[in-house]
Amino acid sequence: MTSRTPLASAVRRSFPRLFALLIASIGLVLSGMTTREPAREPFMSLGYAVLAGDFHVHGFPDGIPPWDAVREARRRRLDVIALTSHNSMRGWWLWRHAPVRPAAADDVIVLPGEELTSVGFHLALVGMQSTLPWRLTLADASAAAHAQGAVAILAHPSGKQFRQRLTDEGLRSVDGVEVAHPARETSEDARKDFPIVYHHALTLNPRVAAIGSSDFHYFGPIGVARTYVFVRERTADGVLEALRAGRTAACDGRGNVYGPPAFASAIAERCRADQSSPPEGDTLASRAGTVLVWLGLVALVLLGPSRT
Amino acid sequence: MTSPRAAYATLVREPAGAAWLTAVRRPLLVAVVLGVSVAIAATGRATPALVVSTTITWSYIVVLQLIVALPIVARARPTVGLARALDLFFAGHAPWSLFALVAAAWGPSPVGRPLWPLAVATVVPVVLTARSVHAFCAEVLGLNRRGARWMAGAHQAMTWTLFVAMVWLSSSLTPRVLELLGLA
Repeated sequence: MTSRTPLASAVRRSFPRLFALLIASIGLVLSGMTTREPAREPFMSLGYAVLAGDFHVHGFPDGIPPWDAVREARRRRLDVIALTSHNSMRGWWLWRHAPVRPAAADDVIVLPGEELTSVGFHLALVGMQSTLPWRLTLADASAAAHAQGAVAILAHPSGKQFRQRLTDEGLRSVDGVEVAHPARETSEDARKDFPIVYHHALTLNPRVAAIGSSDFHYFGPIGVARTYVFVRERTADGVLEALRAGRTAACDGRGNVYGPPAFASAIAERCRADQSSPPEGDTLASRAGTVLVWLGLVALVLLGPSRT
Repeated sequence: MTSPRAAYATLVREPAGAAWLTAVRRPLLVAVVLGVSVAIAATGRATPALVVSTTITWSYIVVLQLIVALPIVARARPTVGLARALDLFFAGHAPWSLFALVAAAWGPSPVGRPLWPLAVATVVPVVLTARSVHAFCAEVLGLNRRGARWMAGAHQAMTWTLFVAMVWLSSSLTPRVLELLGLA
């Protein structure tokens, strides 16, 4: 007759949990086996450098930490992003005080901003120095942003309240309109309203920029809709200048392009290529690793607490 | 998860005297689950750097849950001890943990996807968690049916108040609510 020692008994009892933990740990190691993203070839067109941007990215806690967003932007072939927290510049503040700076920070221009979340409209304000009160009208908010040297982009312009409150004065005041946004995939209103608002804005201000933004919170991917900006210089000021001048074309997740025909046709192929290519840096091992991490954690949660 | 009273009734009869590791393991698991879920939902991957970052930043949720749970968990000190009580209480997080992991796997889409199915599905963890807390109060704290219901209700009310406050602040809900109510 053999009797089990307490240790052997404990190990036997804990085996399923230890196994699940091992699976998750192996997964974590494998998921780190990524390759370095290749250097981005400068893309020139129509005499400008063309940068891929996402000007509507939320930072923690209404999104992921900005250093992770920047890393992810680089992986998704973006050259510039704007951190636009709701009625605050928390995302930018966190980025300024980031405990870690990813290597991608050298390749991605990060712009300060906020998403002015007001009644009847939202504005992605890019290049901000301080936040604006949300009770301003659309025209006043745009003017206040311009006074700070920022650019005002009408965010996801759709919905009954939006249509009821939108005025020509307000629409004339903005520098850009989000014509490509993930809401196009999920809302009939958005599908109808975005192009109508953009084309009406064009009649009021021929230089209004066609903008594609992901409105990135927790569910990715960042850059699912993006803006190609035709810049004279690859700097934050260069990007803001191009946005003000309307030298942009928007691109949605399906590879459709929007904007002035010359700019839109110049980036059409690039848009399709960027949106149809997998993110950079992943390997078979890293993808398998992510699945193992997920499975290991599901098992640990399902197994529940062990007995003492 | 589906029969929390029976599970807690069994677990509470186990000998007490667990170590500090027992106290932290399940809150730690919840933090890692949240971190991994956010990482996968946002980027489709869970690299070590990303998981460490999201786990640390999102652990504020676990800290808030600990604060809300402490008045309840502390009452279990004489019966199962604080460490074991924390372990058992956080076992009741399983429905939300699973929801987070499933949502993370389901959510990302190359072109964007409606999130209303997720919003509807939250009913499941909401109900299961309320039942778990009630079962904890009944079996671990030994409260009668009415007492357990009151205690669980108070806990859930505090948790949801805190949650709404966090969402209100981070998503700037005031103008949205005014717009919805036609008050501005």
